Order: sequence, then C-alpha cells, then structure tokens
Amino acid sequence: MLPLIQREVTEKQKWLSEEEILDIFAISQSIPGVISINSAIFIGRRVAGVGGAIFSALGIILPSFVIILVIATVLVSFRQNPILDKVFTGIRAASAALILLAAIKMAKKAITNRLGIAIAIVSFALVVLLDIHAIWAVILGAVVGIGSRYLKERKKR
Amino acid sequence: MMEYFRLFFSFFKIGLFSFGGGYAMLPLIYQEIGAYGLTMKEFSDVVAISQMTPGPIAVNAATYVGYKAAGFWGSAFATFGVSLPSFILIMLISTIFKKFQTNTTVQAALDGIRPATVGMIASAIVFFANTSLVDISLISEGFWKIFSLPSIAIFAFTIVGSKYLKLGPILLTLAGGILGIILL
Repeated sequence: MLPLIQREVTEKQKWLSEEEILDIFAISQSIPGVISINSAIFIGRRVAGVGGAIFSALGIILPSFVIILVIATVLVSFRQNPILDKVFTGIRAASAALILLAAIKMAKKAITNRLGIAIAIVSFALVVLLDIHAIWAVILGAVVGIGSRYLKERKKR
Repeated sequence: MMEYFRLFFSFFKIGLFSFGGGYAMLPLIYQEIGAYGLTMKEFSDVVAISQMTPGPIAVNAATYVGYKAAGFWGSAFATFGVSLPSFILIMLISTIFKKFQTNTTVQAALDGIRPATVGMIASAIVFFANTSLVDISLISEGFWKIFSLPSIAIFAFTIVGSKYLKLGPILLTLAGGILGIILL
C-alpha cells in the first residue's frame, strides 16, 4: 500500500517531496495504529490542515469498509455451506504459513540482540500460555527498552 | 447504544496499543472479539478475507466484527474507534515530529516494543494452527488424531510457494482455499 501512496502523493499530485514522504512513512510505522491510515492522516495534515487529515483518513478507510460490509452481509447467510467451510479451512492453513513467514521476516529486522530474543519469547508466552492481554506485552517491551537504555547510559558514566 | 460504545472502546484500545501494523495487530484483535461472540474460526475468516482484499486487516476486522455484533452502525463505531487514536496522536505530534523521531526515550521504548510485536505475531500463528493444522479438542481420541494431514500439506505448500516459487499472498490464499476443497 505504501508504494501506491508514495506515487500518488509525490508524483501525481506533487503535494510533498520524496524525502518528506519517507519521513512520514518512518514515523507512521513507529506510532501505534494502522500504518497506511497513519500515513494518510499525516499527509492530509501537512497538505491541508485538520480538515485535510479528516478527509484523507476517510478516503483510505472507506473502500475497505464498503468491501467488507458487502462481504459480511453475504457471508453471514452462506458461511454454513459445507464447500465454503472447506475453502476457509484450507485458507486457515495457508494463513498460518503466511503469518509464520511474516514473523520470520519481522524477527530478522526487529531482534538485534539477546535482550530482544528474551522480550519476544516472554511476550509470546504471556499471550499464548498465560492468555494475558497483548497490551501488557507492548507495555513490558516499552519498559524494558527504556530500562536497558537507562542502564547503558549509567554504565558509560 | 451501549453495544456501539463497547465496540468503539474495544477497537480504540486496539488502535492505541498495536505497533507494527498488519499481523502484529492480530492477538490484540482476537483477545477483544471474544466478548462479541465471535469464534476463532470466524475471526480467521476475517483474516482470510483481508489477505485477498486490499485494505488493512484492522479496518477489515473492525468492520466485520462491528457488523456481526451490531449491524451497520456497529461497523461504523468499531472502525471509527480503531482509527481515532492515530488521528489524535498525529494531531499532537505532527508539529514536533522531528523531535519525536530523535527523542532517545521514545526510541528506547520502540526498541523494546519491536521484539514484543514479533512475539505477538508468533502467538497469532499458534491460534491459526490450532483451528487448522491441529485440533487439540480431539486429543481424547488419541494423540495422532489431533493432526490434520490435508491442512499440514496446504501449510507446507504455502511455505514452498512463497519462499521458492515467489507466489504472492493473494494467490497463495486462493490456492489454500482450492486445495481445501480438493483435500479436505
């Protein structure tokens, strides 16, 4: 989705420069929420203020909203169909594989040291084994990240 | 009316605490949707649809869960809820965003959150595998009964298809569905 946004904003509409859009993508990935929505809100805000942000958010959300609404109304009445059930069971197996590949790709980028491995394992265990809300895994990660930075700074002095 | 606000609040939480986008949002979403009577199977349907349609998973999930729980307005409130945290946050930081990007405390927190999201994505695999590759509820019929060979074959095919044949997720999702009809 991001390459599409980039082309539209820098080449077609010429709202922002290449450098500005890359900055916006970088920060959109580091704050919570959906990355493409974050980018849209940032771009809208830059180009046309708060109103721009509202309209670009609506613009990026609306197509998915409409598509899923249509699918949901259809699916609610047909989901019990035995063939469709087989289709979705097959897709679930494919999904598990796709998510595994995404996790491996992400792990290569996100985990750079032993502390990272520990955080990943602990948050996995919290969610799967203890069924603790994933919010706590995020909070734990943030606290450990800040704590380890603080300890490193103190060692330097 | 209460149901609308409940949906709004659930998805507001999801929007506020999900870092890394996409699959990293899955555990947060499925931990919340239990309250709306959605099963893991139904939730995986939503993810399957998300893989084949262009939009973000979180918006698709909000729309679908909202619709099932409370119709059109349920969808609207849930979708509004999942996007509002982004909106508020960006309005707050858009003027100081250079400072935010270089702030060492913010960066330290993100350095810790990133590996946590890897753990969260990994947990999503377990939940998906448990409704397809294995079914723990069949354990009483014997250990080997919990494995579904057709699903494991589809899983393996998807890995090979993506890593070695370089097929895209849409095609692989469709292939999974077709193989489901043939094998299951």
